Amino acid sequence: MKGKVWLWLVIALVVIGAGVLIWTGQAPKQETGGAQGVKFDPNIFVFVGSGDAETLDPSKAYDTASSEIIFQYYENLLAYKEGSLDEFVPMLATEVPSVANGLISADGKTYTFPIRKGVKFHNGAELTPEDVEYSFERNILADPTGGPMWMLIEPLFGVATIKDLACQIAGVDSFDQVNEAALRATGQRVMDAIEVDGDNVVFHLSTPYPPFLSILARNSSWSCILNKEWMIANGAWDGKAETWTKWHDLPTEEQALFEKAMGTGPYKQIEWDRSNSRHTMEAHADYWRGPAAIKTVIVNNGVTEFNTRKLMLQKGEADAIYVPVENSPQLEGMEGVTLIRNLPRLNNVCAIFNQEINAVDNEFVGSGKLDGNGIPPHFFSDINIRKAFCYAFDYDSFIEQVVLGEASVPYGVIPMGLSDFFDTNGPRYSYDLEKAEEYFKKAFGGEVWEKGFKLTLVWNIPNTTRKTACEILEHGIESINPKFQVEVQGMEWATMLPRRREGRLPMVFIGWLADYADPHNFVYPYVHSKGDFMAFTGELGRKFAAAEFDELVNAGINESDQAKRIAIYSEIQKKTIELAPHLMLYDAYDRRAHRDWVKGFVFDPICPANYDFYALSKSLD
Amino acid sequence: MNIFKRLLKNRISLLGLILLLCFVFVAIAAPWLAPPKEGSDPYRIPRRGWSLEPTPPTAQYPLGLTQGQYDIYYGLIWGTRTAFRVGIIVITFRALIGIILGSIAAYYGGLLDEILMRFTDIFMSFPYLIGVVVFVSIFGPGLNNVMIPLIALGWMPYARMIRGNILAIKQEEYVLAARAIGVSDFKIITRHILPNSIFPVLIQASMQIGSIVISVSALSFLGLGAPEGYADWGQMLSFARNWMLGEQGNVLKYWFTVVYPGLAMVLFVLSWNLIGDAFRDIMDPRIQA
Amino acid sequence: MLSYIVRRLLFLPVVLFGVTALIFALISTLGPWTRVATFVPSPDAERHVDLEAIIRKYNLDDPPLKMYLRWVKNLLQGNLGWSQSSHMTVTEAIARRFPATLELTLFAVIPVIIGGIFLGVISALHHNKPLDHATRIMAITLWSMPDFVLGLAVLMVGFGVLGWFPPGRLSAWAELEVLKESFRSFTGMYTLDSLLNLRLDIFWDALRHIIAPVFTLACLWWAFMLRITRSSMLDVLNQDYVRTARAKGLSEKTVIKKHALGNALIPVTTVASSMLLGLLGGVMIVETVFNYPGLGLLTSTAATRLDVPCVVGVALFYAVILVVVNLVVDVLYSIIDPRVRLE
Repeated sequence: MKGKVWLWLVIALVVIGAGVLIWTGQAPKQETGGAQGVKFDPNIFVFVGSGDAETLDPSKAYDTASSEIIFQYYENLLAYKEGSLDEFVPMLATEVPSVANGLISADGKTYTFPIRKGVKFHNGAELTPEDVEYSFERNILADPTGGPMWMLIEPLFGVATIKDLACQIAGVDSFDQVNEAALRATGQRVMDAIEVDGDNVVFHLSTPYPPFLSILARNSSWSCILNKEWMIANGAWDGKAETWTKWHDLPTEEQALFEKAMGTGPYKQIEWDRSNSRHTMEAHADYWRGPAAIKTVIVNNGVTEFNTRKLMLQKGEADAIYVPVENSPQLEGMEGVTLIRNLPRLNNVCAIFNQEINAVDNEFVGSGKLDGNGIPPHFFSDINIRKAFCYAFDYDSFIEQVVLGEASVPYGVIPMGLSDFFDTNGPRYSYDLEKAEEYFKKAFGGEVWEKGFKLTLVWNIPNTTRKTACEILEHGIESINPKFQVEVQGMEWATMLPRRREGRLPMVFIGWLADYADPHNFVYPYVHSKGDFMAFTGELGRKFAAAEFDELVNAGINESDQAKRIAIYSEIQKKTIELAPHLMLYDAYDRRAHRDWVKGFVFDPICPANYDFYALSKSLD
Repeated sequence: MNIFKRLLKNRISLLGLILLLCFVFVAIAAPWLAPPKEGSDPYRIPRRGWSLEPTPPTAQYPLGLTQGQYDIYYGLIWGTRTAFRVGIIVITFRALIGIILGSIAAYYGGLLDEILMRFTDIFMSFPYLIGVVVFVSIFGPGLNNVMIPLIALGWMPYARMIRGNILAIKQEEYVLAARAIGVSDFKIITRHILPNSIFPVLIQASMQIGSIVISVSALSFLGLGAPEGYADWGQMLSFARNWMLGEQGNVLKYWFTVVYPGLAMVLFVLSWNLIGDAFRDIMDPRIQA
Repeated sequence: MLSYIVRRLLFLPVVLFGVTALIFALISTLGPWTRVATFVPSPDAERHVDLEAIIRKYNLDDPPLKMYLRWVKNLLQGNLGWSQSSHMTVTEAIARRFPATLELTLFAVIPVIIGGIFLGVISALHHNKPLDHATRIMAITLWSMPDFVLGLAVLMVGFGVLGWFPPGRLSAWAELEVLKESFRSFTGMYTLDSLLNLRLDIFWDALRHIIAPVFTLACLWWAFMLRITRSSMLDVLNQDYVRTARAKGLSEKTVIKKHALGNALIPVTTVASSMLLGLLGGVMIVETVFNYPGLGLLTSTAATRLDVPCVVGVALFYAVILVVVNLVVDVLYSIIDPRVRLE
């Protein structure tokens, strides 16, 4: 039969093809290293992760994936000293400003940076003080909504956004009413705040601001240095005070640096292949600290399956991969792979008590009354309830079983990574159902204990770590009194957002990852009445924060003496345990997994990138 | 009755039937086989701890605990009910819609056919899995939100098949003859056309009860299926996905997370497919063994 | 016939309107605060974001009809919008991802059709004999496997144990080669492009990457094809005209070739077309498992992030393909089966 001939032909082709494949085996020009023919190429480094950058524009980038890439292409004026979070070394500046060396004025409001000479951009242009000045002015004036620029706008101008500054200058309430002259004045105001003075660049702050150097330091993508000439040639802001609105708050994809990069960093961009979530970069030959050891780096952020990443690491297709905490045991003991765990990170996770729940048609609060079938809107404004909840969470089981020991029980809102700023002998919560019972009995004059309550905890899909946290809390509370009913419900982020915003969620499970290494970056969002997290606690919650915490938080930021700051933050830390504004769940740790042949890895708790590729090399010994 | 006897005679379909009956028994006896905790939703699989790493079978938990310490035994027992519910509901509605629209379109032809077939085209122009994913993304995960798009985007092949078969049969002499002697439309459809064109649809339908369960599990794999912790085999399999490769040097370390739910699902699908396959041979009077 | 084709093509816009209107109708059930969620990557990333400003800027609070009309207006100018989840225009995203999916589909379809028909016919000819039972049971078992379990198993063996078939589309070194200017991109399908560039090393690399997903797809669909061919062949073999042919004393070969096979393939064409479409639209799972960046992966990411322009764009794109393929199949159907008339 003819069909048979065809079949044999196909089989033969497949066999021959497979034979040739196996014979040609691995790609050309590859050495074999380690066991089982694992591929080794000292010139290429492949990092495989999950979840790509949103943008490469430093004025807009505010997620780790984006900062991670920006970190490789650009540099800042300063860097953190290795192993420290409050000492700096110069980078594109030649000196670290301090009051002692006169580069910070006595009133703490003027910072001067001498700019390094002979630094080359990727296109060969030399770095000038004008580039530095332009970089900050351009990013500040662009100030896209949802971006990180508030961090610089706040110390420099004392407002949150550049639109607010324009309104302030024009003396109006809405940005639409700001006239032409005031817009120009706003541009001028920004340009006056950052000035070139010979070989120096000078910043004029509106108030003293102790974390200012942290905000400028390496790892802060918003403070990285751009190339003025190249920027203007590529359609960015032209450097004039009157034209800035044309480039202000552009959609992400219309920004000049959305997909391009031109910096002084150790790597220059070859391509961002957005359809494959892959960044290809090449060592910058004229890099001022000498070219990087690894010539080509590929960051492939498109592998969502952990199994696939794991296999790639095992086979040497990847030099390093991203490992979620729950998967780290699977890499334990893998041949040729180094797994480093328990790296302290500036990141903590909490459950926010909503002190004034929006109870209108709210499916999460049962009846909305204290009748045993629901909770009243101000349920969590009673400190006894909050403390009872804090005692009902099994911290140790959670840390041991869910995050496999990669976390610690919090001392308050400031995480362990910043333990220099608070007393590590201070109080902490523990899982104590007797204490929880005691506080539940006190709450609402004993009514809660008698009638019971019912509420729903909501977690965001697909974050199952938070789901388990909810269930552990549920388990704790329900075992105190059979009249206490807790339900746990998962919700897509898009469905959750409007409910969270309307204040319907009784508790909001959320984490905070530091923008810069200073306790202010934690206490402000967590307990200041204008902070991000207090926004989820209702009017009552904000009033509570204003009465209890605002003064302390403000004192911390306006104090420049380190010892006094530590005292203030220790007090805040203690008070967040005592008053329990939130249920602090855990301080998260981090981990890395790479091939043994990766040398030179140093952990940096504030670095947005998993690896500083410049510090790495690959060798088989 | 004759059909049933022949199904019993055929070894392949007998195997399928026995398997299926086992599943039916498990589904009915679920409250006794795996008694749920009083007062809680029986479809919520109990957790025996908080750790993600699966625990191997022990005397207390004979099939082990999968990712998140969910009891595999409990999940499989109650998951049988879920599988039947989802499969039967989806298939019934699909076949019903398909048969009604397909036979109307083919029999009456003309403008009505044109309209119905373009309507079918619009639905067919929705890529199946993408359509389901879009729907579930908009309305949120959950079994009901999975079943609705599976029905809405799954009836068209039946309609087309029925229509195709009827178009072919319509030209056959006995139908032309029946029409010529003035038999009513309803009678022709029910007495002549449906029995002679329904059989491929029946195979398809029986085959699909199994693949519906697979479709739902695929959605669970993408994180769009049943809510986490709900007794559903697909979800139990997706719990296993991170553990399938075990550890280096001990690839089979977590075999129980894959094997038990996998076996349940494959056997369930297999039982329907075996019956479906034999059914086709039996239902068609023209095929003699 | 021609007027039928023209009529069907004229109907294309109606189908496209139906599909896109349906999606917009579904989306209109969402409020602006749900739609704005795609601008914030995760619940923890909502920092200093003025969501109201974003809603105003992108007109997310417009009534659905207005949104739809604006979308149609942009479409007529060839603009499908910006895809928030893939960081590029929807047109660009589709143009980049489609070749990958097409490559995968084409590779899978050929073995499935040839192998499926061949074994289906053999199975039918050996009806109820051991060979028939063996192929049937194999096919049924394969067909009963969930695709992601099979995919993961193939990945485990092909890459984990043997190390032959890595995930992705190309190895790191080949990616760098493809990026070079000397490598010209003709189709976006790496196997074809590398041959056209006379780069055998890249061709082998691309082939090595595509084999595992193709194998997985082929296993699943091959079983399906076999069953349909077998059913339809059995059906035909018992038809009167085949019996007559046999009774006339024609050789079994002639009977099968001249009389049976052609008729048995009629339902197979429908199945083959639906398989092609199913492959194009439904490789989402296989693409996810093997991390193969095609349209399926694009869509699942876009859908879970509620990236409306991208989802609508892809649905529109598929709708065009589906309508055209279905039309071709209908025409073919009428050519091979004279009993069906196209009116």
